[in-house]
Amino acid sequence: MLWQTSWRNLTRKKVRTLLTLLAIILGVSSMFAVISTVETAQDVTTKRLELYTGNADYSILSRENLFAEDVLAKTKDVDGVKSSLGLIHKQAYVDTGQEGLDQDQTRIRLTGLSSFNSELLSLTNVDGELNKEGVILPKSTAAIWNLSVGDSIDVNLPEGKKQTTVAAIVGDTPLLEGPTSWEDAKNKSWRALLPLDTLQEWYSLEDQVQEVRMKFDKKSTDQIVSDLERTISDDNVYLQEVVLDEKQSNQLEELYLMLYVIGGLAMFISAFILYNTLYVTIVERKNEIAVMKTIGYTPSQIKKIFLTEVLTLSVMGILIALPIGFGLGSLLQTGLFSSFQTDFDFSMKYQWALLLSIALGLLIPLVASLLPVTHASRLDIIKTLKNIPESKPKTNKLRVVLGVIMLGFGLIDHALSIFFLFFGFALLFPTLMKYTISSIKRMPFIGFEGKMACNNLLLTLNRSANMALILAFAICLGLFVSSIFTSLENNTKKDIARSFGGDIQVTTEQEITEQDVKELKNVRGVDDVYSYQETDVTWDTDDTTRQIKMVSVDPEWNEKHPLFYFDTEQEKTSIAFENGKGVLLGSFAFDEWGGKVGEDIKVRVNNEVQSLKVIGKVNTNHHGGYAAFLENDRYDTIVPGSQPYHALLTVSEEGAENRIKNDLLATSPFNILEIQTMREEVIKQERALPGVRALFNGLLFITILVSGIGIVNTLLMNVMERMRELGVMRAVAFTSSQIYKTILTEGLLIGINGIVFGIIMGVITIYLNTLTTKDEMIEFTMPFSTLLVSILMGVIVSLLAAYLPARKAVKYDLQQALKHE
Amino acid sequence: MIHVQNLEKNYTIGTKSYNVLKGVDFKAEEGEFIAVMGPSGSGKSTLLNLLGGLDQPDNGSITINDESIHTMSEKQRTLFRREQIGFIFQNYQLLPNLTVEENVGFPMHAASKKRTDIHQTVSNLLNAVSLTGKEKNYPSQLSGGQQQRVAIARALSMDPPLILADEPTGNLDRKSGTEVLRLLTTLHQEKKLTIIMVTHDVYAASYADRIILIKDGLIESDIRQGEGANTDVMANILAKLNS
Ligand SMILES: Nc1ncnc2c1ncn2[C@@H]1O[C@H](COP(=O)(O)OP(=O)(O)OP(=O)(O)O)[C@@H](O)[C@H]1O
Ligand SMILES: [Mg+2]
Repeated sequence: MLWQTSWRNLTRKKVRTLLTLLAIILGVSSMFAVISTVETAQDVTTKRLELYTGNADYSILSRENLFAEDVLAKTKDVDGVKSSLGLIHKQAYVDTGQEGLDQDQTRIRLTGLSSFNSELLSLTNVDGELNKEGVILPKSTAAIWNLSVGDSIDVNLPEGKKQTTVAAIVGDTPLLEGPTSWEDAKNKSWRALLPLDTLQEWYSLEDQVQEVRMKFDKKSTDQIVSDLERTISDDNVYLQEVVLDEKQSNQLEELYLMLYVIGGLAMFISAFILYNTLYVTIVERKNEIAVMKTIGYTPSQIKKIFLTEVLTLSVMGILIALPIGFGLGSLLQTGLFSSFQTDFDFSMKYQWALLLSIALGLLIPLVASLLPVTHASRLDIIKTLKNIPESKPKTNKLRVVLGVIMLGFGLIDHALSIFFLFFGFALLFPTLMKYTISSIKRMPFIGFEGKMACNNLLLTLNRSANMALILAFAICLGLFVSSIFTSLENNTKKDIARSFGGDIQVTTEQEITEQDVKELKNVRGVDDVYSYQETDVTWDTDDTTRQIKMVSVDPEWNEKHPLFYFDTEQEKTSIAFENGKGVLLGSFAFDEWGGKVGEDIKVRVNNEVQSLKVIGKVNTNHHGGYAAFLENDRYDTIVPGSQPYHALLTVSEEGAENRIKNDLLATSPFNILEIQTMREEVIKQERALPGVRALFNGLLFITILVSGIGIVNTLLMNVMERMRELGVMRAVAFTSSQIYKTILTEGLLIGINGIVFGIIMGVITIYLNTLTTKDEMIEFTMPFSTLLVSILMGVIVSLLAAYLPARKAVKYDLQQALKHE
Repeated sequence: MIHVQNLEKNYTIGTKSYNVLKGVDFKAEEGEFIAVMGPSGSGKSTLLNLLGGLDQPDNGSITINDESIHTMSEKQRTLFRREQIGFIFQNYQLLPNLTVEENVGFPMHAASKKRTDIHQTVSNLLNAVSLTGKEKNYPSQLSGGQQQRVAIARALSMDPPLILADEPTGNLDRKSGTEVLRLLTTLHQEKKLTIIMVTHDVYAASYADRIILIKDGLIESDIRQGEGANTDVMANILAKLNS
């Protein structure tokens, strides 16, 4: 009976029901899309790590790069080791017959594997045979090289040219992630797999391996580890736990936050639309409710009737929203992942998205309806039946006072002050809008229709102000994000320079000796050379194990060519290391760690727990800030016997980097694993920015459009409430075009208020951010293109949004309008 | 002044069609005060709405002052109504968020008249309907009779030659109703306005000088007062209404 009644009520007002549904669909689907995007991104990064490490539990490594292959055999005898895999990575150059390539574009990283059928490996979509003699290529590489299974291929090795064949082609996997084009190959090596014996033979490394990866029975890791140590009994070889720390390769936290903000905004707008709609529904049905009360309905019975309606709508909305959210999510994810400049397959994850969006889809409409429904159930019968009109909303003094106080807090120089500012702004917004509209009303040019529009807005001030505020927030957000991107674009070079550590970064296959450093210094154009060490250390939090890079630092070099920098100019590397013999944490690592400067961080190095005092937080691009820095000598005591595999080079003349890079590659082609100049890094990052920026612009574009739906709703509600009055106006004087003019002006005024205050808020936000941020790269820039687009979009969207309600008012049957309640 | 020929109006509800007006013919001369009477649902309001161009006929023609409003576009009709017709409704239809003076001046504002003219006209009209002093009141702060007088002032603001009133006294008590009827009579006599007034009330109809009786969508009788004794006319009508 209850359901039937609510169903009849819903079908009686089709437009409104549709609009409410739209609101629920909008909120639920965008929430679903956003949550599932974050979920998928997290899943993808973890999966990729797993695929990369082959889901191993422990690795065996040597301090001397290579060790005897019989270690691999020994591991198989240890109880609890389910499977193990030996491997060697080696450098080579490929000749695919492609003309006009630089040497660095043909670099290929070969990985020799002791087995291809190991559970530590997951090669899919195999074409050809894995165990056949030859190399195994990932699909995308084979496509770029234009090769198929059985084709022959030339590889340049230290001992000369070798011809081999393509044994198999497999699906793309992180372990084999190569460049996506020949151009991309300047920054990244190609990758291929081959049998371990073949690689050993090619490089004359018989009976040696570089790493053994193992999977354990999950029973007693400690026991297995000590058994292994005993069985192997080689001082140069050590065991290292394989830690899957997605934070190591996943610096997407800010992106996630942005996505949540946008999703939250959509949900908020949706709730607001619901609130509006229900409010008007109840105003319209006042008489009905009053009559129901006079014949004996209790307030809770009336509540029940309305809540049943809301629930019916929610369920319908959610059912429609989920597939839409699914589509939206996959669109967003495709856009997001394609901006990462790597090809990979992903499967959408939506477990939480589903759960949360259903929960929110039910909860938010109920919460949004609570106020109007309670209002309905408490309706005063006498007042209603006497039809006493609503009084003009008065400015809420408390709200204004609170708003001013919040603004005051907002002026305090603090990172959080911006939230106070926003909050204060939101509180003051109706008052501000009241004043702007009252003053616009007095302007001679706006005419009689404009005056009527102002009157109408003033009568529904809170509702209109809320809508304008949402638009203002969207525009403010857009300007802010855009200004950050502009700052980044303008400063990419500066930003990279302050933690690149020199002009060229080199990573080598063999350790870098004193002799090597001397030789490097003698290369024409090289000014100075510094070699440093880097190792993975693990660190246990309450529930998981994390892994960060620990880097050795020479304070003197670092002050000239920083690998990291401090928040303030006064702080210096040398002073920091002198004041306390401890570790400096990269900002991301510091935040993840969650401690305070002066406290100890416990890390495990080569399976031994070490306690290190954290002496500061620094900013760096290395490993995305997920790194720790130790002074050289301290590093040596903590990681004894480790050797440098990294070098930083500075050049004596500007522009020589490329030549030096090519010279080095030519002189020691097989020792250099990676070589990158700062210029290349700058170009790479500059190329990546526009994609991400476009993605955000797209999202903000959607937010403004969504605000448009909110404006449609607000004005439609205004029109529905005033249908009788509009009818009277039409009956006694107003032509259709005058009605259009009135309602379009209403929309435009909401739009203009949103735009103007959005821009003011945006400018303040950008300015405050430059004041409070510790990052000197963030400078005050006004993104004029975004500004222009926001203004245009705001005006167009608000006019378009007003058109529909205006049309409804004009087309509404005049006699019906005059009878309208 | 008004010439209505073979006027037909149908409403369709679902699949059923109802002939509300089945061919109404009549003429009204300038300066006539006509009461339209008839049983509930006979089509009186429908006729009045068609005359005022609030609705479109399905057949037939309406000419007012030599202009045929049934062929006009919506915009032309609105403009014609604004200039030529003052509408008075049973439930006053004032704009609740405008003051008395704003309500009265509304059509003039919409027609972009000069402010000073509007001010002058409004104050004259409010004086005429005895509401001087209530300029700043909102409709909800007035009695029913006062509201109806505001509505009359509004109907007169563009100085139209024709007034259409749909049961202007329907919501009023006898005293307020009489005031409104006296006002209409005065206007009719002093300004030579043409008035067509729909009413249920024989007492109200007695103020008119011609009574048209509608029944089942057709004109049943059309009687001019003074053609017989007033009492006879009334008795006649009462009989017809009750039959
Ligand atoms: N918009 C409409 N849609 C359908 N039918 C309508 C509509 N308007 C009026 N009618 C029907 O037309 C008929 C005449 O209505 P009208 O309002 O003209 O009657 P009336 O003579 O003014 O009655 P009353 O004295 O009760 O006001 C009625 O039967 C009514 O139900
Ligand atoms: Mg009627």
